[in-house]
Amino acid sequence: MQALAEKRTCHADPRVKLVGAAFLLVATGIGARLVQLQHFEHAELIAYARRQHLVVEEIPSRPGEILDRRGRLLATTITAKSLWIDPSRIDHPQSFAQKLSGILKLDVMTLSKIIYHQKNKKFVWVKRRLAETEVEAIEKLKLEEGTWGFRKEYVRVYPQGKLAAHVIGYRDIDGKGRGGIEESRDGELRGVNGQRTMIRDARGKIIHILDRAERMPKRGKSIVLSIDSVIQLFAEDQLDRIVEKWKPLGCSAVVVEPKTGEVLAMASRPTVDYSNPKSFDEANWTNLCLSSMYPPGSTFKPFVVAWGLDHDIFGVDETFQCEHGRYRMGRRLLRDHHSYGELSLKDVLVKSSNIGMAKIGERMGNPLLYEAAVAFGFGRPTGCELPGEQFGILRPLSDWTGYSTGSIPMGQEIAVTPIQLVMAHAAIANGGTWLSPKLVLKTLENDKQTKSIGGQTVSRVASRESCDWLVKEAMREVITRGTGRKARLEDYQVFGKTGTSQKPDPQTGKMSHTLHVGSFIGGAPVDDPKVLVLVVVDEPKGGQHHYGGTVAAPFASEILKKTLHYLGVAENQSRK
Amino acid sequence: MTFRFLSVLVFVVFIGLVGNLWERRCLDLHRAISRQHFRLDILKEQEVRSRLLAESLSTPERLSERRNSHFTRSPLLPRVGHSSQIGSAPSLERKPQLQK
Repeated sequence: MQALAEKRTCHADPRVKLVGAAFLLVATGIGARLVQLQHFEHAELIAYARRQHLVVEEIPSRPGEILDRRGRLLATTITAKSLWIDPSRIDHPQSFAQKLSGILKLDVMTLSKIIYHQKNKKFVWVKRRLAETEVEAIEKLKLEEGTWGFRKEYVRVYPQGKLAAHVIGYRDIDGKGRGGIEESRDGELRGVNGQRTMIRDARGKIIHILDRAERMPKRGKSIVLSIDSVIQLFAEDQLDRIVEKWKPLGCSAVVVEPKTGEVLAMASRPTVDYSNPKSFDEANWTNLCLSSMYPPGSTFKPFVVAWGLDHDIFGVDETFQCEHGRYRMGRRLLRDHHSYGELSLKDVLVKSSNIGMAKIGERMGNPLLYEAAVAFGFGRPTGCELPGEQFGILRPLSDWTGYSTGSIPMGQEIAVTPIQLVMAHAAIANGGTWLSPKLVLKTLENDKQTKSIGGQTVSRVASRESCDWLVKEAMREVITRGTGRKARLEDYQVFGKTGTSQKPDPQTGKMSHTLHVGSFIGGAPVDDPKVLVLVVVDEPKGGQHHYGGTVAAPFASEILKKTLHYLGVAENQSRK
Repeated sequence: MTFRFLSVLVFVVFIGLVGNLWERRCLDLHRAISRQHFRLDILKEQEVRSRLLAESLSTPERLSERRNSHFTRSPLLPRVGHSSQIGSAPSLERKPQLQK
C-alpha cells in the first residue's frame, strides 16, 4: 500500500503541478508586492495617504501690542476679513467678476481673466483685509455657495498715526516686522502660531478635527517702550516747524533722561505716514537719529575738555591765548569767528573758540584725544535696540596726523550719529557715567511682566567734578552769554552746547562753504538734569544763518520747556 | 453556569455603558473648551477694538489739536480698509491685488 502511495505522489498529474506552480508564483508575487509596499515604499505611501486625508491648518497667533511708557497704545492688532474664491466652481466668471468689482473697486476684465485663467485652482485671494462696509456689501450679494469665502486675518493698527513711526516700524501684509521695534523685537511680538489637524473625506470635506493634534496659538508679548507719546509729539511738532522754516535736507531730535539713559522721544524728518502710500519712499524710512552721520562740530568740545581735566592736562582756572582769531598750526591757518585774546578754559567753551580748542588738542596729543572719543562711545554703535544703527566714523589712531590734533578737538575729522552724541552728553549730564540707550522698558506676557532680555551697558567715563563744572559752569554759560542764548528759558536754568559743521560737497569732495549741519544739545535743570534734548538740522536752507544756535537751539529749548512742564519739574528748583 | 455567564455579561455591558458616558462627557468638555476659546477670542477682539477706539480718540496729537481749536476730524470708529481714518495699518494701503 505504501509503495502504491509513493508511486502516486511521484507520478502526480502534470496539470496539478502546473496549477500548484501558478499559485505559488502568484503568492510569491503578492508577497513580494506586499514587502515592496510595506517595507520599501512604506514611508512614501504613508506620507501620500496623510496628504490625502489630513489637513494641517496653521492658526495664526495674535501679535503683541506696543505701548509707550505710560501705557498708551502705539500698535495693536485687530482682525479683518479677506475674500477668497474657488475658480474651479465658478461657472460664469464674467458675471461673478462684475458683481464683485463694483464693491471692491477692481477692474472687471482683470478679475474675470484671473478667474478664467486659474480655473484649475481651488483657492485664489481676491482682496485681503477688507473694510467692514465691503464685507457687508459682499454678503448681501448672496453669491453661489462654495465659490467664495472670507478668511479672518490679523491687521496691525497704529492708533497714534505717524507718531514715532521710525521707532515703531511696521508690520507688513504677511505679519513680518519691518523697521523699528516691530523688526528688532519681531520674535517676541509675533507669538507662536497654533496648528489644527483635520481629517477630510474623498470629496475634501472636513469630517473630523483631531483634538490631540491641536495646538493653540500663543499670543505675542507686548512691549513697553521708554518713549512718551506726549514728549514724542513735542519733538515731532518742533521738527515740523524746522522743516517749515529752514527747509532742511533732514532733521532729527532725541530726548533722553540722562540718569537712566531712557529715550523719551526719537523723531526724524522726513518721515513715513502709514495712511499715505505716497510717503512709502525709501528715503523716508531712514531714522536719521541712528543712521545719519555728521561731524559734531563744537558739540564735541566738552568731551575733550572733560578728558583733559580728568587727566590733569590742564585745570579749570587755566587760560589759553586765542591769538586774536588767527593761529598757524603747522601748514594750517586756523580762524575763529570772532577775535579773542586770552580766554579762560570756560570761555573757550562759552565762546566756542576753535583756536582755544586746537591749543587744548596740542596739550593733550593725539593718543589722549583718541582715548576721549572712544571712552565717550564714538566709533561704535550705542546698542540702541533699533535696526540700522551706524557706527559713525572714528579713524584708527594710526591714521591720525598733526592735522587731527587741531581738527578733532573742534569736532572735525570725526562723524557721529545723533544717538551717539546724545548718549555721550548724557554721561556728562549725569556725572560721568556712560549708559547705553534704553528703549524697551519691559515686555508683558498676558499682562504680566516677563524677564527682560539683555541689560544696559554702563561705564564710568569722567569724574563727577569735571562733569559738574562743565554742566553748572561752562555749558550753563553757553546759554546765558555764549552761542546758545536762543535756548534760554525763563522758568529753568539750561545748559547746552551749539554745533555747526561743514559738510563735504558731493561734487567736489571738499568741505563745502554752503552746506552745513547745525545742532544743539541742551538739558535742564542745571542742578539736577532731568531731560536732555538734541536737535540736528541737516543743510538748513531757509535763511542766511546756518548756525546751530539759530537753526536748532530755539526748537530744542521749546521741546525742553514743554517736556519739563509736562514732567512736572518744579520751575523754581533751579532758581534756588 | 448561566448565572456566571449573565453576571459577566452584565458586567461587560456596565463597563461599556460607563465608558460610553465617560467619552460623551469628554466630548462635552471638549466642546465647552472650544466654545470658551471662541468666546475668549471674540471678547479679546471686542476689548482690542474698544481700547483702540478709546486710544484713537485720546491720542496726544488729537487732544493737542482739540486744545488748539483746530479739531476738525470726527471721532470715527476704527475701521480697516482704504477708508480707514484712524491709525490705519500699513498693509491696508497696498493696492488691491489678486493673489494665489
